[in-house]
Amino acid sequence: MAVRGSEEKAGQRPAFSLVWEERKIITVPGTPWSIPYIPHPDNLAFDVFVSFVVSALLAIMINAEAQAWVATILGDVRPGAKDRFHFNVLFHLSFLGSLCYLVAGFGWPKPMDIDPPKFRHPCLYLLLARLAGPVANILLANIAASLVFLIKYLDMDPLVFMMVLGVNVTTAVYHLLPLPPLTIGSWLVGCLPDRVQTLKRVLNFIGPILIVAIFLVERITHQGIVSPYLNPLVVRLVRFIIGS
Amino acid sequence: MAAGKVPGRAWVTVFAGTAINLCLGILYAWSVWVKYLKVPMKEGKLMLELAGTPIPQFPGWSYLTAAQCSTPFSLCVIIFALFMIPGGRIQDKLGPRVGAITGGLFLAIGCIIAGLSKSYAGLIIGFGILGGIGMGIGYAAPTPAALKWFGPHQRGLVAGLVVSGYGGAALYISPLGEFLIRSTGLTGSFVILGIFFATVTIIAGSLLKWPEPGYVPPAAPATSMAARAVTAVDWAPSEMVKTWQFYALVWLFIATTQSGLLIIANAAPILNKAAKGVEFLQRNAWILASYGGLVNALGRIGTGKYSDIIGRDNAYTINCLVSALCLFLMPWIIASGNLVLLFLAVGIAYWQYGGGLSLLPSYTADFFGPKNLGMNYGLVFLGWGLGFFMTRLGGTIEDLTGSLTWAFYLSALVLIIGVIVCRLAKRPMHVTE
Repeated sequence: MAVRGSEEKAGQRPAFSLVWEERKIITVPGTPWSIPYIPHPDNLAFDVFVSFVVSALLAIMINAEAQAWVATILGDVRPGAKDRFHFNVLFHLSFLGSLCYLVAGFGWPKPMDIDPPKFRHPCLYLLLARLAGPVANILLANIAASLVFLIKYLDMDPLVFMMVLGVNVTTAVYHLLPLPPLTIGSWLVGCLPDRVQTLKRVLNFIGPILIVAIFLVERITHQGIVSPYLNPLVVRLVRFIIGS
Repeated sequence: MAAGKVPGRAWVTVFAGTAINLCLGILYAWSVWVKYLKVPMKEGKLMLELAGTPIPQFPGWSYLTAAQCSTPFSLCVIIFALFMIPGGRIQDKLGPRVGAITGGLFLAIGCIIAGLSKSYAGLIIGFGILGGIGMGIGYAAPTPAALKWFGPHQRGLVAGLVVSGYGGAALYISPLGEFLIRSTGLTGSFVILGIFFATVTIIAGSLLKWPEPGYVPPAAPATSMAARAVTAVDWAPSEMVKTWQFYALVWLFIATTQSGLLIIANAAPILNKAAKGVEFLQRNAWILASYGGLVNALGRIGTGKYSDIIGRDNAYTINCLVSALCLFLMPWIIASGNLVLLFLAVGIAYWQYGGGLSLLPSYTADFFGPKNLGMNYGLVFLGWGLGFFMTRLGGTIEDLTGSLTWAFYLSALVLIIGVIVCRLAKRPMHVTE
């Protein structure tokens, strides 16, 4: 894997900080990669890839912990639970959810176990708890944007924080897809009546495989199936958050 | 052990903790290396075409672009954040020695790798990834360990002393780094610092100790304000997040962080510009360079000390009201360009920012008990991260209104709400009480 910069010369690399001065950027063309960032041999420079992995880990952790947090507040309290509030990202990783980051630039944590019958309004509160994930991602994207803003005082380039911003916004937006274990999907499945346990189990099993499959097909055939509808929203949100 | 003195081991733990934080603060010194790694300037422009070519005075190293220079630093910050809360858990479960020594060794090995690899990738792996992991794990260890030894009437000072190490690192590490680079080269400076950090954290880390089970910290004298509002129960993190007082603490943290950062980010560049006109400061550039770090470190100790005497609520109130006043005057101070006023404003901001960092661990210990302090404080620390919003919001306000005036007023308002919240928040009652 080549380290970017050693071969590339100034001309090819957008002069990020200079563009920033004119407040034009970070229009997405200002970053050296496209948003959403999807790892590809062309953009697999070492620094970019490391930033991507770290951003994905942050996005996964914050998504899972936020769900746990809101579920706890709304009534699903589990003192001493092992799967909550440890903020240890390694325990939140799921295989397909992490793989999906490499395939499509977004992913999901291990499904957070939430028990709707413990809530006063099971369906509504389950939605709130699940939505906490993407909301937290947007929140983190905002913190990253603040750091982008702050770091220019240190005369530094905020590319790493741009990556955190982009990956989190991508994760939040793609979680609108109605397939479990994504936010809306897992809410829909969670609201199904208890009679259809088998259907629930089947959906929860197929969901992640289907998601990875869809985006693998997208990559192999270069035909947009879902992403053409979601990517404009991602780009617009990134621009809004960064204020350009 | 009523109203007695703490054993000597307690103070050993405190100062060992300060020493560890002094090592971990290397993050602040990154700019020293950047100075040598970044492509040189010519006629006011960076000579980007030199990126990737060898640096003449340091064989084996190549110039980096400005963007590349900031990558290891940024990664280090993020990975620090990622590991801080798990680090708190390591402290709670396995004890402070494991946390501090593991953290220190990660950092030391990272520095050595960064030095020996002589490459951009090495800096990312060594300084960014391993350094960030080390700082995250190490930072979480010393403060809770030290606080366990002391009663509530001394917690403020103790927390202040321990965390002052991190702020104070800015004072010594920049000149030391500079000296090492000049005398031993880039590789030498990283390797020597790595060995130095390994030695210090292993020695200081093994001096960190929890009190024996059943240890009761000396009780507070009846006159102490700080001792009145203390829990006797140790709260679990999942119980803590259900109390509104937890969110009150997060708000207190947001308030101190955002105001401090807003003033520092906007006044410090103006202060530097104003100081250029003064010959004395020109000749003694170190005054300006170390001013922030010094006041930051002193603010941590000072605020901690007087919070033990007059109570945390009162200490927080004083810090925040002075800061709010400063924020209301900021538009005028910046317009005046008066050097003394700028020094004062930046000083107040650093003091108040540092003060928050020593008040909040003590608050967390007072409200939720020392047992799970590592983890609980990690959660309260999220407020510190949220405080970064304001600087960004300040920029938006500047874009909309053409000036920062309203950003300063808004920030002062957040502080005043913080003061009100802090006056209202009394420690929560646990169900078992």
